[in-house]
Amino acid sequence: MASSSSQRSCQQQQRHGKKQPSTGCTSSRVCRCVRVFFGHLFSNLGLFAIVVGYVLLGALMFENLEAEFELQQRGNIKRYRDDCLKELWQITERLNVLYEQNWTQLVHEQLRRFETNVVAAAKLEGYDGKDLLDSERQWSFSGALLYSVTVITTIGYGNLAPKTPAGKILTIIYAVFGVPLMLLCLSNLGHLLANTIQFAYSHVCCSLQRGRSASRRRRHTPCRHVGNAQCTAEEGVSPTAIVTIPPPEQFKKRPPPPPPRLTPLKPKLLAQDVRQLLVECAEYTAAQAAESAASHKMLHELRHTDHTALDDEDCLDSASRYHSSLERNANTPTKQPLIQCSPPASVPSTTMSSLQQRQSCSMELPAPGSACSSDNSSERRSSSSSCEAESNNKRRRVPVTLVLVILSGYICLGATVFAAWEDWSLLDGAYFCFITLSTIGFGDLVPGKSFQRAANPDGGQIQLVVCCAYLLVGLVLIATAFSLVQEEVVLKCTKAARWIGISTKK
Amino acid sequence: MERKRSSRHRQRYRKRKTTCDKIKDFIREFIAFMFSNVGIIGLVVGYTICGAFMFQAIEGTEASDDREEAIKDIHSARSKTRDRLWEITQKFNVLEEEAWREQAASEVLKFQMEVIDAINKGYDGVDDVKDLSETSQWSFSGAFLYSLTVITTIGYGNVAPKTEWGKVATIFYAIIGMPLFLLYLSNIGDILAKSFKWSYAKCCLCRGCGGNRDSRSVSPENSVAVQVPEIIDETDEQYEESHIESTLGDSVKDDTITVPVTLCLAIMVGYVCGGAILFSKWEDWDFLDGSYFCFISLSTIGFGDIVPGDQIYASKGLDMSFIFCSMYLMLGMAIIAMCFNLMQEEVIHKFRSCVKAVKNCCSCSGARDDDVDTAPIE
Repeated sequence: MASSSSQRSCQQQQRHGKKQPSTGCTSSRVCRCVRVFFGHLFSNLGLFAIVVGYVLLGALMFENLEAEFELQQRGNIKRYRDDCLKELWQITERLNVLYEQNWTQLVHEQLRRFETNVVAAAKLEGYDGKDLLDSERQWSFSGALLYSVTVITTIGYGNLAPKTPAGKILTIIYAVFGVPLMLLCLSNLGHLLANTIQFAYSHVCCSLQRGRSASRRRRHTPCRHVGNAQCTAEEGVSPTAIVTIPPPEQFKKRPPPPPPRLTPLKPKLLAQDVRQLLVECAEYTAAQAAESAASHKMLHELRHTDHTALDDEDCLDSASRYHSSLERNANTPTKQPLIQCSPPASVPSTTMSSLQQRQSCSMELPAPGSACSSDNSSERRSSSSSCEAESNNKRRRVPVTLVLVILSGYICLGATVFAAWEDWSLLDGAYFCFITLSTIGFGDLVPGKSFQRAANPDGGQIQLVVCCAYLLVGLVLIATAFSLVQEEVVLKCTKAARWIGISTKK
Repeated sequence: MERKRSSRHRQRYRKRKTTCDKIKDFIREFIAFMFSNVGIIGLVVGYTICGAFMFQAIEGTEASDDREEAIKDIHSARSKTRDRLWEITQKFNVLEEEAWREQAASEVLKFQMEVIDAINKGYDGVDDVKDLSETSQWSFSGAFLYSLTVITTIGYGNVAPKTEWGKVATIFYAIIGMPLFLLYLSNIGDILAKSFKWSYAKCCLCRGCGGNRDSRSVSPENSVAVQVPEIIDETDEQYEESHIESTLGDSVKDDTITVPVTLCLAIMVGYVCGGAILFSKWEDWDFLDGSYFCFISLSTIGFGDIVPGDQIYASKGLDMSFIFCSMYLMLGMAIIAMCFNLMQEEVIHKFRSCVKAVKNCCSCSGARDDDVDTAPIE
């Protein structure tokens, strides 16, 4: 609350045209950023904690249900063995004179029968070859933990599978609640990480670009002098209200409006509300000035194309770009932005932000704001008046190749670690990592499954837990990658499809 | 006369151009059709069939080699155990039970270990090398089911590649196949959802029952149109869809009819139960096993412990089981995509409100500040 009031006083002071130290508002902004970030993190952490608790609970339940059956299974095998022995002894006793052929034939039959029992147990009931006296169980706690994780991530290895009816029913119920929970947690974490990465990436890009261009050009654009981070990473990746405090000399000499550079707007990607608003603004501008070719073109494009609703980023993106072109036109009556991009909260924010835009539109249009103060506030409020923000919108996207490199690096890392631990080949390790992370999950290769790890019984458990951790982190990474590149990929695909399809129509 | 010549020129020029263009147009239309709603089914089936052939070629021979080895191991283990037992029996002039049992027991235990090893290699009870080709896991239908489980990410694992080339081929097959299958799901789910909504709306209007008329301002066309990828812009199906949309729009002018969530859930449960009954009849499972299998498969968890046609000595019914299972899976996942499509708005709305409630509880002050800051300044 304190920071908001300080921000309000900030704004009031700016309205009166006083020179402001930029630190006060930026610190409040940083505070706000941090608090919002922690708010999100906490709710995401809460979800993550719920998922972890759910998995642990599942591990306990499944261990209790299935461990008995496993021990029973081993007991069965022992019984088969004892039966076989008894039969053999009886055969040996019965034949008073031991004819080798008779005896061997009977013994052969017995062995065959025993072998069939063992094969049936191994194939159908998951017998793993261990003896009753072995302390190590497949359905240990870590085994059940890995099992629960594979159920709710839908990987489903199958090397461990429930054999009791209660276990099967419980698996179904566990999956019905666990799979959506996991998907929700993954998508939230993915969004959070994606925002963080984009924030960091564009920050690095900004600082690099600033370093490069400071020596090169000295253009009087209203954006270069901003010291703090232009690129905010609030809820979405859309340009939010960026605090840019242009230096005072900008208002002494207004640069001549450059020719209206209409950055290519993507009318197809606008929400219906925003589109309506843009049509209104374009009509108003077209009515105002005769030579506004840009607005005429915009009108034409807006009227004659389809539109699909997309998420906030693109709509605000294009809206901001359109606004910047409009403003440079210098034909708006108040030289104020007609569209105020507000930080989006969630899906209904499309309507909310468009409502706010309408409000700001209706409020600012009749105002004859020619005073510096209104320009100040508009400049401060506008999120897109800075060309750096505009270029940030383009540069902000993390390239697809980088994301792919990160993913393949993670797979290779897992491959080397598991190959070293389990005595697999490197190809086997990479194959295992890929099959796991794509949630296919065959289960033919699972860490800790080899029968020869009896040398170190505890080592098997640790490997299972590490496998769980690797799995979860990998899935979060994949969710992050999706959220980072999905728009670009979809755009490219539709572009390619349109290139394939639309040429025929022309 | 010059006009005629020029027009003739123009005609000839147009003719020359159009044959080339016709081919290009045809190719483009074909590609557009393949990626459109109907063609994608054929594309997915074709991709799976190609994968089946590929995997059969790669894995079929190697697998049988391994299994031959396993069978040889079993035979040698059996004869070895037999001989040793004979030696033990001969050793004791007077048969003392205890000593004999002890030694025989260790022999049988060793035999058991060797059987387990052979099972790991791929032994599954088939004794004769001659029977191998009949009961190969990598028959065409087995490979078809395998390819399908790869691209749907079910991943049973009862049939899994053992050769290096097979594993590499699986990875690349999956990289291309998974997005293709997702595209199939979204397209088919769309079509099914639209037609289901249309028929549901018709039913509701005809019967005049209450239905589920929401006063929410979300119309089915918009919500469904969101999912329609722009790839299908130019095909003829688009006209059909818009026709359906317009009829839907006409019929639901004032009210917006959303399919109730319970109906969608009932459809899914019904499909699982129907599959359970069929599979339990065919495979001699009980109902619990059948529904467990259907649920685990359709949710793409796919353990692979219970798979139709996987009985040890099944021979004839093998092929049909796998093919039927594949069809069941493809149709089932399309139906699930349709139900998700229909339930989507309500579920997302409810989830978002839950998450918002949690967020508001956890970070109250942050949310309040947000509201304050985004309010337009007077």
